[in-house]
Amino acid sequence: MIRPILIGLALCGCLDVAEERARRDLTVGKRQNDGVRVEVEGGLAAVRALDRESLELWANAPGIRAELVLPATSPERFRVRLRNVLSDAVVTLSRADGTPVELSPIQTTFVTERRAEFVASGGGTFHLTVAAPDDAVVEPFEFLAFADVQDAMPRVGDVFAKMNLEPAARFVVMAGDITERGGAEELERFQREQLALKMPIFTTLGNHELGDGDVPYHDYFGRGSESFTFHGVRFTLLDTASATLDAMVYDWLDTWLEQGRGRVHFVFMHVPPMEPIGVRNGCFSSRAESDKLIGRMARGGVTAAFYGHVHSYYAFEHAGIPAFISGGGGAIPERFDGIGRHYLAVRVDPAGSFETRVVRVD
Amino acid sequence: MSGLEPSGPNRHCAGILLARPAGLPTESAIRAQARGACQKAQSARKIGDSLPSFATCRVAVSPNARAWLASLALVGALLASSDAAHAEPPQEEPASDAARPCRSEPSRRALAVGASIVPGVIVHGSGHWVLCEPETARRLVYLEAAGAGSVLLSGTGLALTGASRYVVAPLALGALGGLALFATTWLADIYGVAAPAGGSGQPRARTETLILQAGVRAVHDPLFDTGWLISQGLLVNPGPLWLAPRFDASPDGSHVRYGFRAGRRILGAHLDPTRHARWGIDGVVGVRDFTEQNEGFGITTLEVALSGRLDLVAIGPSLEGAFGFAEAGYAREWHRFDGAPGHTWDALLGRFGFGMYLGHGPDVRGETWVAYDHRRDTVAGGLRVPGIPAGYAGFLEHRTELYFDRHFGAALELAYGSAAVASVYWLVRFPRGGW
Repeated sequence: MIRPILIGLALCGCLDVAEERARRDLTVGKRQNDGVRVEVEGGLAAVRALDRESLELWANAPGIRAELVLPATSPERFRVRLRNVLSDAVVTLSRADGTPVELSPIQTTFVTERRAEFVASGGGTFHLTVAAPDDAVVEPFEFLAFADVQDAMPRVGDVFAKMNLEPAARFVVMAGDITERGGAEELERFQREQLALKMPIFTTLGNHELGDGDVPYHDYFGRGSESFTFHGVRFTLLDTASATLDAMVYDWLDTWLEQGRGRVHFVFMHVPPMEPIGVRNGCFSSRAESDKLIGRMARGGVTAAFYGHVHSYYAFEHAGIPAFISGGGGAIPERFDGIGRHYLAVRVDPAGSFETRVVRVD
Repeated sequence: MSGLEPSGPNRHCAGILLARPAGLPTESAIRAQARGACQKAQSARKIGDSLPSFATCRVAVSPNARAWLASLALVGALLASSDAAHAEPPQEEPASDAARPCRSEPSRRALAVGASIVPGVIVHGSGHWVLCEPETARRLVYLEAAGAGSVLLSGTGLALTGASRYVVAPLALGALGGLALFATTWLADIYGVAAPAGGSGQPRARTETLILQAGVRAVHDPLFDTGWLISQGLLVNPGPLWLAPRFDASPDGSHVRYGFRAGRRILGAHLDPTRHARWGIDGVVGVRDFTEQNEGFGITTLEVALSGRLDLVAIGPSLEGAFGFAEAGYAREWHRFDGAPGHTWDALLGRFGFGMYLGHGPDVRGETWVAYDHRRDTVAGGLRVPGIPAGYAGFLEHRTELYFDRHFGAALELAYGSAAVASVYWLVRFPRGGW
């Protein structure tokens, strides 16, 4: 008798604050409009626009694959615009039976963007792939990690300029708090600022993306929780913007941990399950849940975890997993720590090792 | 762990569990200083004088002692008022409030209750002001202002320092203490104008030697299949120490919690643990252990805290029967995992609440309270606040307990954080003087 009442109260309250966003994740990368349908594998790209003549995707992973279905009444030419891709990404297209389709490139100003068009008359099902030529090659590489830009967006160009000086870095992984309030205008502003960066940013969202009642994040950047592989290294991004992980995402995480077993596996999220300064508690709402997630990551063989939320830099361990908080994107810094704006450069060898380097921006 | 702990006003015991810092005057010296200052305040007979006299009570303490006590914002502030008004409450109240001339007018009473809510939610004491009790109203609004000021100052400090690791603990305590004052004074205003003459109840003059508690707890947690917990606990209060062991476990043994807290009065209206004291601060130490077998982890916690409470009649005669309580402390945690190394962590403890005694009879007595607890390691966890503030709040709790006769009673507890928890208990008490 009591438990149904509790469950009823919970449904009226805040126990499942992240559930709606988890459900939203399931819709990312899928859209149908005017007889045209697209589905991005794993939801690894946001569909920014889709109509009878064109498709625009915002990639949130180094390699994406999508199925595109065009009606028989399609116009002769169909255009695709792919944003936030690796600077050496290659776009390929084939019909459902594997027959290659010729793409005619369209000139673009930005190295992280690809535009092309193809003959679509007669419609049909097409498979679109965007990836670097060496996407599946298992070899060492470098990526950058940062978080917490928020109200420092007018100065984020400094960070990007410094990042552009990293010749070996392939992409940036951002652990949330892109904006101060998460509104569409701020999200668009960030994507405009990002055009100055010569590599893509793959991100999850932070608590500051929840500032407006509506959360348009997924329309602009894609899923909050997702997982992908690059050079044999597993990357998993989790939506902990509400200082918790939805029950549904725990199930996804189990799958991703299994897929990453035996590989180098990095996990990124905004609010850390644990932060070194426990009296501050810039971390999960429940210590039991902290241990639930950390325990799963440890048993799942996670190589290292990268967090944001705390505007400083910390390197520590939880349950034996090396963990890094790097919230140096420019938001109000933690004082007296001698850190300031910064990002992390991570050199990883898929054979099983990695090293990090703190790069100060100022 | 809250149920059988001395948050209730009739369960406080005496003792010293925290080392006294160098420079802190002896307890008797503090009390003597406070008494002297407060006698001056009494002679002034003006609220404008008597409230500063609370500060006088504190200023009389050495700087080191003040710094130490200031870390307990709520406890300190409430005790300051307690010292001034509490030694002999009826005599200390200004004549205008003691006479309470408007209480017999039902329409004025109803208006006061309304005013205590709007605009009382902003201006605490509005209800008492409408009820022609300006002295109590002023005290409430002054304490509210102190609370709001503490929140503002602490919040500003947190923002300016980016919640720096070096200052976050005292600033967070300052914010919690301010919130405690803010919440308590609002609830006190509502209570003071709505409660019947003599208050909702009275505490028992003598504390129990032993209280047994047994019951069940229903838990709804979206992330843990806890379900039901069997709960047992007891409070042993022979004086001068009180001891409170507790055990909670799911029927299948997958979720098990042990806890043990012990405390002793270190400051108070009096230090006799067998008598009800109208205010007091206990030093508390505790250990607790939690095992979640289904998820393969456990947490052992050691904690030290100062736990205080105050009968709010110290603020005004209309608050007879109401009380406030607060706790602040530090916990060290050892986290362990199946198949992985463990790690240590720490936590800031902070808790405050408002309650009222129930019943005036010789045996049928009880109390009810609501509280905020800043810790995140209980069954309830911390509140899952939507939006930007996610992760910074503890949980809300409520407890009502009522004894039906000299020995037997029942209690209902509700807690809401990451999980919703409802608990019912059967209580057996052993009053002093025998069964």
